[in-house]
Amino acid sequence: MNRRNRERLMLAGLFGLVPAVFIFAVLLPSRKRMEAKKARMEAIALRLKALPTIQPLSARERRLLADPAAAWRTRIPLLRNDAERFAHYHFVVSDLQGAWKREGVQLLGVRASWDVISGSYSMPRDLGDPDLGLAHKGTAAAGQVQGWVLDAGVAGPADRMFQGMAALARIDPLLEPVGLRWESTPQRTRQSLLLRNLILAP
Amino acid sequence: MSKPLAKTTVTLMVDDQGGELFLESGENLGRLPEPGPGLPLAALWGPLLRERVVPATEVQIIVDRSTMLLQCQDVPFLSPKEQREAAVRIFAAEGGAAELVSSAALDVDALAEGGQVLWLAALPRVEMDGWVAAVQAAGLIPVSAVPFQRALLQGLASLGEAPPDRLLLAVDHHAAAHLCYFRGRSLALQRGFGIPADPAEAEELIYEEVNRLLQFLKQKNRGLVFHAMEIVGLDELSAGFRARVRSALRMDLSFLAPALWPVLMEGVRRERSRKGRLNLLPLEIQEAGNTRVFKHLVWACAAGVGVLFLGASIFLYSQELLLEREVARASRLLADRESRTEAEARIVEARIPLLRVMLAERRQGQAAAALSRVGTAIFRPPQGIQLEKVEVQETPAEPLALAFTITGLAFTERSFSVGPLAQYLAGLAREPGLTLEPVAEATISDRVVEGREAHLDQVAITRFTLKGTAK
Repeated sequence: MNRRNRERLMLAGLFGLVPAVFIFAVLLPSRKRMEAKKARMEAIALRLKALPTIQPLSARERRLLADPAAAWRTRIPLLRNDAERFAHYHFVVSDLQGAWKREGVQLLGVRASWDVISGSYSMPRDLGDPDLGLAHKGTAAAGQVQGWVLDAGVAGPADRMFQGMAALARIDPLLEPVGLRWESTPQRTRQSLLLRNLILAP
Repeated sequence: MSKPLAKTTVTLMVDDQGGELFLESGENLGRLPEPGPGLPLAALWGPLLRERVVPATEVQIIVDRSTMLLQCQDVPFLSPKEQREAAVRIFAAEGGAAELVSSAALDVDALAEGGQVLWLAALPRVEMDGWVAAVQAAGLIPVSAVPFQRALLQGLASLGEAPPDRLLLAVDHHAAAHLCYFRGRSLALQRGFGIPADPAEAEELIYEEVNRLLQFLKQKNRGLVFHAMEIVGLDELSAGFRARVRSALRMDLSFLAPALWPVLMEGVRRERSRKGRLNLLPLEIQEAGNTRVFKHLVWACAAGVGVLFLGASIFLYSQELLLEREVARASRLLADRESRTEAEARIVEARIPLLRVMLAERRQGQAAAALSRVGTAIFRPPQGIQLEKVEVQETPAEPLALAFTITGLAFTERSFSVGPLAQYLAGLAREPGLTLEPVAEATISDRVVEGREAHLDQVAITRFTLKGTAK
């Protein structure tokens, strides 16, 4: 092979073979690998997107969750049986009367219908606080939230009801005011607050 | 044998006595003698050139042979092909039987008829072929062959402005003198002679040659005047010579450059850089040069293509690496997130009761605030309104809303009974978030009070029932 032909061959190699080698040995395999990597990236992104984003616990939440004796644990109690149900009723009525009494609000009587308990009664002016050996039960995660309403009669003018409402936040069983009734006749005035109590049923 | 010099462009100056090699710097690499009869030039010069010059060095030739034919003609613009054809045609008539190589170059000249001067040069082909063969035998590359006079004219252009008619004496290092008359860009006349070593004799000879040339010129051109004779290659002539020239020939002497060689080198450089340059090398040699340049260009392009693909490969590889790092980072992030999922699930599980209590407490507060706000508005009736029954109840809908029903009486006291009712309604309507339904019942009747005397202006009462909602 003479020099000219050798040069032609080399040029053909450089202008033809090198691009071909580049395309088939570098470009296409590289593209294939990059597409595979991109697909992996997309799959990872989708998986990350699917994972729920959970807000981390705040310092207050951490403190409340860490404290086994925190007050929130007894505010919505899990009632497993009748004893716990009656005990809870006892605490609701007793705590309500006690808290209102400290605010100067008199609980005249209660009307309520909660499962087997059907009540319509007047409250004694001074209810004692004997230790019956009953305890507030802690809140459990498992349980269905249920509510029952008690109609709490309030003595005195209408503003006593509002005083009583302000005191509800300080009562351990969680009582949400859901209404009020007020009626005035020439003979007497009757007023009551409707309070909903939340409990957990198994 | 001396070691070949470093590779550079060398100049071969060819005259009637042989050739002489120079570097661009002017360094003389030695004389190449004229071969004897029967001895090929290539056989004599080839080894000498090989000794002195590195192979593949470019060689530019300056021709100062008496066998060279040179003409300048005023012409209109001619294309390169027309220039070449003119050279062939004119020298064919003058060259006789000898085969010539010719070349032409066109210069713009305002003094010329037609605005252009055509330089035409020719040499016997056998001479040119001999030089080219010698140069190629030494492995060198001939790139140009320029007539001495053309190189001189081009070199003079680098020495500044000049009059249109100039008389120039150029003396080389062998004391060979050229007396030239340039008219614009045209070489009108030239004469060569050797200068004796004795200064007095040299000045006498120069004077005689100049005087003879001027007489010849002035016979043909009566009005021709030269104010100075320009001199290149000498730095001084005697004061007597200067005075003699001034008084007898009415000219001054102007020493343009002390050495001829730099002027010639500059001239050759300028000529080679021109488009349509005068080059006496055979066309096939010139084309071979062009082909060589093209080949170099192609090889450079090929190398460029190779470098480009190499660069592209490196770029692609770097992109792959970057992407790989991204994938690895994302994978670690995913693994980290997934490992935290279980812990987060436990947090959620532990948090639900607390959140439930917190939400219930918040709702308790909102409900107490809403009930207090509505109750305060309801239990603040204007004078003349007596409430009988009020019922407020939370509606099951979200967000928290209350529905209320108010039953009462409006008395006629200082105003008629519906007046206080209207006042009460307006007061309730002003409460933010409180919406009253249209009054469904309002009964106005006389009031019968047992045991009291009836007063017409105080007996009318309005019994009403109001309903509405509050948020």
